[in-house]
Amino acid sequence: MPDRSLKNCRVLVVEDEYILAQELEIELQDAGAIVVGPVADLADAVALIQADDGIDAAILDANLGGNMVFPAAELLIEREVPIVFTTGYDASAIPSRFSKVARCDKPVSMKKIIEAIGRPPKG
Amino acid sequence: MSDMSDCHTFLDRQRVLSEFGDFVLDHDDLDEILNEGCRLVAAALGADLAKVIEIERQSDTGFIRAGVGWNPGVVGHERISLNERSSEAYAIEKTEPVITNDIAQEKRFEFPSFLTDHGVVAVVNVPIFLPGRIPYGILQVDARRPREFDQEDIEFLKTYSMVLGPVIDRIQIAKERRATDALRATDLAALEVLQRVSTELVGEREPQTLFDRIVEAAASLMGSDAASIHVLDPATNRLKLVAWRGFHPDSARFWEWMRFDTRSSCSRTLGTGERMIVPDVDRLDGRQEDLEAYRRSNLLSVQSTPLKAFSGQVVGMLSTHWRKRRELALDEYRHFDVLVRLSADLIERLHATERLRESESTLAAALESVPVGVAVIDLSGAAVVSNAEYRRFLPTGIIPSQDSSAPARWQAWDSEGRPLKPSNFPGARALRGETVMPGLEMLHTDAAGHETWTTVATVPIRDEQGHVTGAAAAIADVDAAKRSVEALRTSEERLREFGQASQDVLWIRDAEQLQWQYLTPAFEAIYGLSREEAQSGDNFRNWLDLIVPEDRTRASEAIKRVHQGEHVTFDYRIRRPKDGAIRWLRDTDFPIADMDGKVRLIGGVGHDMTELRETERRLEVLMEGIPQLVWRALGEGDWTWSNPQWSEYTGIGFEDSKGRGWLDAFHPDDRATVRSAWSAARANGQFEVEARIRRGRDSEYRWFQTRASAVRDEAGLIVEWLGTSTDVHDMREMQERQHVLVDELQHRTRNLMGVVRSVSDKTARNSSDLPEFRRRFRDQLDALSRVQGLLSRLNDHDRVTFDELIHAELAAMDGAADRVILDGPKGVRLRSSTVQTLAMALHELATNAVKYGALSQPQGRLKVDWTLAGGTGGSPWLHIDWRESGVVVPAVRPVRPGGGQGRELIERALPYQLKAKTNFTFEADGVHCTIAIPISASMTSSEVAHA
Repeated sequence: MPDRSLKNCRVLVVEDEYILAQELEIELQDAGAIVVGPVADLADAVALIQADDGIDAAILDANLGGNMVFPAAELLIEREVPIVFTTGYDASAIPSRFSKVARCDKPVSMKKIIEAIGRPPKG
Repeated sequence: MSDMSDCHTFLDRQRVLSEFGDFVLDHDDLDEILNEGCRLVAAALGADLAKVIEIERQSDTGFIRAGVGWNPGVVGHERISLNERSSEAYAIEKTEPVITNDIAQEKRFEFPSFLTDHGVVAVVNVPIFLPGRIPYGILQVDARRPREFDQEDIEFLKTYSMVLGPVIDRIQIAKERRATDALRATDLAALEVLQRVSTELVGEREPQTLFDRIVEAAASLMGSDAASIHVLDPATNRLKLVAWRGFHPDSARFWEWMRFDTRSSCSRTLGTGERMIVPDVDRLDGRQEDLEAYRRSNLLSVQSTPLKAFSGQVVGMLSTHWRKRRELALDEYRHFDVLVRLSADLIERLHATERLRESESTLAAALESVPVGVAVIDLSGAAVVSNAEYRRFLPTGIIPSQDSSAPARWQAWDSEGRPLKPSNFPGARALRGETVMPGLEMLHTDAAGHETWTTVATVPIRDEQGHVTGAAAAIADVDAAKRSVEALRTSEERLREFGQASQDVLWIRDAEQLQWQYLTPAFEAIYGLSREEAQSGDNFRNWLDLIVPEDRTRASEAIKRVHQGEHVTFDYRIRRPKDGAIRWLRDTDFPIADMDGKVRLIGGVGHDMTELRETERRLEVLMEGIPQLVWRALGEGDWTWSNPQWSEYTGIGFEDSKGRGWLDAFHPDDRATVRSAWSAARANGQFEVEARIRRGRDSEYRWFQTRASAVRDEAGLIVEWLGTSTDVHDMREMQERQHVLVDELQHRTRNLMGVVRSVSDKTARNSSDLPEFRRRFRDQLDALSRVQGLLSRLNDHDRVTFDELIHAELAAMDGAADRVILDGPKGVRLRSSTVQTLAMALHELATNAVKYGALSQPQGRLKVDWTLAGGTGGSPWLHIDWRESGVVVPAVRPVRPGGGQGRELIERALPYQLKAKTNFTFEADGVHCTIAIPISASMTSSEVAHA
């Protein structure tokens, strides 16, 4: 089975830790993706999602400086944009309504991210 | 007349008589004889006409019986009146001939017109007498010419008449005899018919055959063309056509059912109870359908005779029908009426038989349904009538004493237990005239060897003279009853043994005097008193005296309630007379009622509770001393006891808590959980639930862990529940907080790992060799660990303050403290999420200052100021001013290895992560960096104000 890919995907990054956001950005660019953001807090994330309807996928840190990212996640799910939560929490911290959303434990591995939100190969 | 002619005449007349005599000898038909007589006499007298008139007494008329010379329509038809103006009547009265020589001249008499019609002029009437001078009639000679009948004529006629009399008499007698003979033959035939029928009717033939024979006989007796019989159907009170002959089938169908109220001819018979005779149905004013039925069968005449039972009730109807008009004389019903009587009797008998059969079958059914074997036996001991239950015990139907095959099956014993001989069995005794009631217990063994206890009762049956003619016997199966009595006896025996062995006192008192009838040995052990002593005198009173005064009324009341039918359990204390010791007893007392429901006896079980009470008491004391809420319960949480702490904590007294009252103290949202936990408790043998209980003092609901364990008896059955409720509120809160902290810690750790990884990557990229990497990386890890050290000692409510952070960072720069001035308020609290990044930025600034800036040169100075100022939107901002001074800056600034990292943090990471506003510049004498960070309002504690 050919691998999924993020090539030319516009990927939103929501991550409050600058260093991690930056690292993700670099890794995504290395994977051929176009990074939207990154943004560090929920308000910025929501604003960005509402302003940009060309988002193909999103990587969301579950905990943004004490605020949970879920309102942003709901907006994206509504648009059927594939998302992945990155989190340091146990699974129990994620409400059950997001049980189908992929999760990636920090520190994240790009391989897993791509598996979660990458486009399936065409054909 | 001349002699010669006289002589002729005489001879002629002699010859006439002789001829007539011959004729008479050869004939026996009166009309023929009389007609010949008329012819001869007319000829002898030279007359044209003669006739014989027969007297008909009833109508006082004379019937022209015979004659000669008359026109048709006279002889055998005409009648003349024999009134006072009649010559014939006159002649009969005078008993001698009367002569009218000329009718026209005759003054004495009037003559019938047909005489003159025939031209009669002269008439001579000679009376005819039968032997014994019985007038029969008149011989009349009529002449069409006037003439004088002379003496000779008269004499001749007289002679002739005298001959006629006996002739007529003889012939009449002969005729009557023949008629009588014929009648007798008819009667005989009828009687034969009747005899045959009556013989058949008493025989055992099918009713239908009998009805057919009756109909046949009716037709035969009445000479009818058709006949039918209807019989009363008692159920519907209608008559049913049961047999018929000579009907068209349609008519038969029409007449099949007759009611008393319809207007048919037959129904009228029924209505009146009289015979109905209809000579001609066409003249009957009946229903059209009825007439149609007659016509269909081509019948014109009918008689219907009711068949009456002995009581007079109409039970049927026998009818005969003719095709011609027919009207019978009463006399002709003679034989038929006998048949009617026979038929009525038959019907009555059939009805009686039917009723008997019904009542017999009812009786038989009743007999079969009784659960007792019943039979009537004759003197030989054989059953005349019996039911199946009887035959179950006596298949041959013969009583054992008379049946050689049976005695072995039956056994009975006298009062001393000796076997009875069959001759003394109840059946045999009854046939000897004895009554065996209410019966003898006998053991029956059936063919399969199965034994059944029975009670056999017998009564002799006597005739009017008092002689025994048989007996009635009843066999009742009492096996189950007897065996249950046996079983009861056994069980009573066992109970007694049980009572003897029991450690509890078992006793029975009579309900009236309340005296002990039964008292088990355990009494002595518990009460310390012998049973003889206890049972002497009024032992109820004695017993009450043993009870301590405080409990005496209660005990007495309890017994009273048992007397009224209640089951009562009550506790009381006795003081043993022997040693004065107090013992706690629990009595469970119950009424024992008789069949009528009246309490005859009072039973009781007394249990010595003393040990238990003491144990309980100790336990209660223990329970009252511990800080938990303790309680005891039965069933599914019915509290029986709770320690004072419960009431003290909840403010709900025990009385309100017992049963399910305690539930009120639980939080309404938790009550369902608690109830369902109780429902499951029995199966688990364990009750455990965490629920909120209201504290009475402040109505606060606090979390309690409530647990109960089943207390079981030796058989493993749950006796009661022992439960505790423990306040776990604080523990629960702690646990919750811990949970949050663990989550947070995980989050931080994982973020930190990400940061470390990233820092290591970057450091590796920016280091020229491994020693440099090691130095730089260790340095950065140190900074991170300092931050973690600050963060880790905090709890939820505490925050790292900026002054702590800057002191900690600069303290790490050894030996430069005197060249550093810090100025700003204490207690500016930082959000945990901001601490790490801010610390990293400060670390970079400090590191650079130590390596290349103010702290690398002796004359260099560092001043860090910070202030708190209101920003836009109301949130305060922390303004940090990092100013290095007195630094000799080389003309060409060396490229600082890794130097980009610090600026990146300040210029990019802080704005990104903390929404900070930063500025970083190289002034002529050193670095100047400003950082402004939004601080949430709550982060500014009161300490800020006076800092």
